[in-house]
Amino acid sequence: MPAPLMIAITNDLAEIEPLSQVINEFIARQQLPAKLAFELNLALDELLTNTISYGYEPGQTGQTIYVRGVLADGFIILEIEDGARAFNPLAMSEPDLDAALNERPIGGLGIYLVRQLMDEVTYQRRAGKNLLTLKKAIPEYRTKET
Amino acid sequence: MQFSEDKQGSVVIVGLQGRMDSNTARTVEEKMLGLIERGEHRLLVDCAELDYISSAGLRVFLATAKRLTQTKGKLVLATLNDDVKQVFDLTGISSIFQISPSREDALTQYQQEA
Repeated sequence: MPAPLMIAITNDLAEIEPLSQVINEFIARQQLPAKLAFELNLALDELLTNTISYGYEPGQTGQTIYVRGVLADGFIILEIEDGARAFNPLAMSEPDLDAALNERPIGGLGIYLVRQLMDEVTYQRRAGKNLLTLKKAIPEYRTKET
Repeated sequence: MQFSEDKQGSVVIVGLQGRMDSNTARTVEEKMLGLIERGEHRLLVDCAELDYISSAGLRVFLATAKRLTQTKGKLVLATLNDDVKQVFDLTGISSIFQISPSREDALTQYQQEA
């Protein structure tokens, strides 16, 4: 089993792209498909964008957000831990995907995407931190059974 | 995020290159709405070199399309890569945009109306 990922970023939207490169390299090293990296990055991006954009007071910069990843037998788990104000993005209502263009509210799509891309998403408020856990099955990843 | 801009007849072709995420979406939105303000109302966005899109990027296309319906304009998206197309499909947004497999095909979408 590969060493877990542990990445610290600050609450700046510009940090999401370099994070995605770390994820890309991690996934490539395990010889897993680039499409998986794309999906993980999109889910992380949506959740990080939420917390970075709305979780902090104006001017509250340089706050650390931790992203951890563990690859296990047949699935990957990602965790986002931030010290932003308590916010459960999973409590947001689902967008109306059938709405016509003019009735369609601009927004609400991000969390919907996360739910589509991941098999399991959970939120906890723990010790003054927001903790989001994402789980995705990777049928093609199996540790060798001997 | 890089742009190119080209014009064929009355159609402005915007080429997007790189990542369209929460960090870059605003720049793209300003570019698109700037074109509409300038009086352009036939926009073709070539996504051949668009590597990545998040919901922030989708919102730019939705906002652009909304604005263009007010001016009786038209937005066509062309040459989405598989990853980007998947994001459109997952959100159900594909069905409300005209998406063409190639730039040439996209251009014919305007001719049919002319």
